[in-house]
Amino acid sequence: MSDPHRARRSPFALNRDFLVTPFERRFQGWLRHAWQNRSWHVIAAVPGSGKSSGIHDLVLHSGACKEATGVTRLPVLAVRSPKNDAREQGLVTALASSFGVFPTMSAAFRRIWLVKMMASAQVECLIIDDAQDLNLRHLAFLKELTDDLAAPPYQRPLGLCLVAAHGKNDVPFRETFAGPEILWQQFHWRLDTEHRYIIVPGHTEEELRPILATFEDLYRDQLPDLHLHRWTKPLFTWLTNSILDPDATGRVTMNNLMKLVTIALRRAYERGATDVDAALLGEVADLMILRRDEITQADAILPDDLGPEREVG
Amino acid sequence: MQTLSFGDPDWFTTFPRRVAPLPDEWLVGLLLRCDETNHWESGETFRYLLRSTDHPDFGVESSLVVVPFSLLECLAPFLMMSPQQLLTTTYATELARLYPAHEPHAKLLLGPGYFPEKWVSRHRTGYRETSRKHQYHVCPACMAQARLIKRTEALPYLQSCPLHHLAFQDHCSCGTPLRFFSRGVPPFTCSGCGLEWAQWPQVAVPPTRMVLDRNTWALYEFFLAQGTGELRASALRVALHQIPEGKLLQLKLRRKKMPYGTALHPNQLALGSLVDILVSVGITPKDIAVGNTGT
Repeated sequence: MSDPHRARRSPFALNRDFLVTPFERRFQGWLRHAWQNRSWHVIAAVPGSGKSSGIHDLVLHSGACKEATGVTRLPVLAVRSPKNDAREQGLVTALASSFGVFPTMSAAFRRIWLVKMMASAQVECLIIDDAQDLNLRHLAFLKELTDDLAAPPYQRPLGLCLVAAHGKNDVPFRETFAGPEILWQQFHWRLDTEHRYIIVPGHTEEELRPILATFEDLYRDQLPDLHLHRWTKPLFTWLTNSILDPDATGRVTMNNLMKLVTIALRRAYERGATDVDAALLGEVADLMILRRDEITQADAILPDDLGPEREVG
Repeated sequence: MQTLSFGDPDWFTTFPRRVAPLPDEWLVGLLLRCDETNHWESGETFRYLLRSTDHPDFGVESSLVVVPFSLLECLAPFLMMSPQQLLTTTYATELARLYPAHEPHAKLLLGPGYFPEKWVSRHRTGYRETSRKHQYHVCPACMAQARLIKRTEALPYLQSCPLHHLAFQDHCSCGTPLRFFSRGVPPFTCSGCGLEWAQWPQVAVPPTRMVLDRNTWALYEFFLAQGTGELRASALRVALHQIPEGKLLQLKLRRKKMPYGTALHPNQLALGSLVDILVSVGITPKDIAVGNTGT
């Protein structure tokens, strides 16, 4: 027998709003520091912290605009490190594409064009996400590009953030930039003197509580009695388990928190509940910790909301 | 025209820097301003459009008085505007109104005797005497003030800028003829010596030529603003009344003699040729308006 209350409910709606969490405040704070001071940093955080979302949010609110009058401003230029092109052209293309559509040009001309375009769009800070994937050629190009912009006629020194995923409490590039080669010495010299390598940690238990309270507000219309924050302690304990926190940072990443909470909320919603309980949260935590590599036997057909469909075959 | 923010999906489908047409700007000028503001070489935008669309018999050397609408449809999203807004940079709308029985075409303005420069050089034999290449020109003052190439500069026989009363220039002082789109040089510069068109000499036209150009411009302005097929036919009738039968008419703009009866087919008479006849006979827009009311 189907539950009439459940039948009436529309599918669970996931909220994808960007949340300014304590991690994001710390992370964006350093990005802004680099932007304002035109300083160079290697900024690291564990995978799933919310680095890419934070970068995207910063660029969205940086004042970037294209006017119809030919004026384009892109104060913060952020790209992801090229994955499929080990040549410097991969990075050139990624940077150039940030401005929009451009005609085919020779590689040499595109490099010159990029410098002109960055100067005219008043780029002030360059952020490379997934910077751990950069290679020697990419780094050499970044140095050349920033040098060209800092020199006359542009005289535009740039802030540079190499944002990388890290593990084992070490920061990528630290050993590389300490090398004796001239290029690395030049990089090392350009990095900020006080804060060259920065690790931005995830959330403490205290920081978790207001985030959970925010989730309550976001999902109130779907789960009216939601009181998530009372589960702060068990959630923190689960999320700092050695499986989810392999480097034993004792901090919670936003990715893990989001997964645990949203799966639990969705399950509660689909069961017709108006709040989550410890058993349900524990069930999802088990799924993420103990059963995380479990194989799903896909015998059953997933229910969908797409309505009746035509049979094939 | 709205400002585009980074969060807008159109950010990545528009050119790095956008331009919008200036009042009465010709498409040529808009494309060159697009090149300049985006730090591209002369003609890059136009070549990009040609590569992105398929137009047999239409290329870099084509007259841009009228362009295929699909080309404007291709350009419009890159600038985040409608193709209709871009249509104002051509004479397509005006020619469609003036020649309702025809598909808008540059020949309706320039006449069949005009061919793009490349075409003439490829078909020298036999055509040199009968066809004249349409040598384009710019007003150095318009260039200097606003990087502006107006549609006016596409009108045949007009030799001076109606705004600045300066002679249009079709050659650089180094002797290189004006070419709008040249590879390897910055936009708005001479392809021979690199001198900016804005720095080309600003030469006042002689008083007699100024009067002729003023009359010519008045007629163009009249027809392009409010002309219709009927008004064009009526204007021709008024003009033909002035020409004694069996006499030759001295065309002041083309500097040729036209026997009576040559221009009796208004639908086959280009606007440039019609204006030439009217100017030569001494007919003004006011005369046409009166004549049209009388019929």
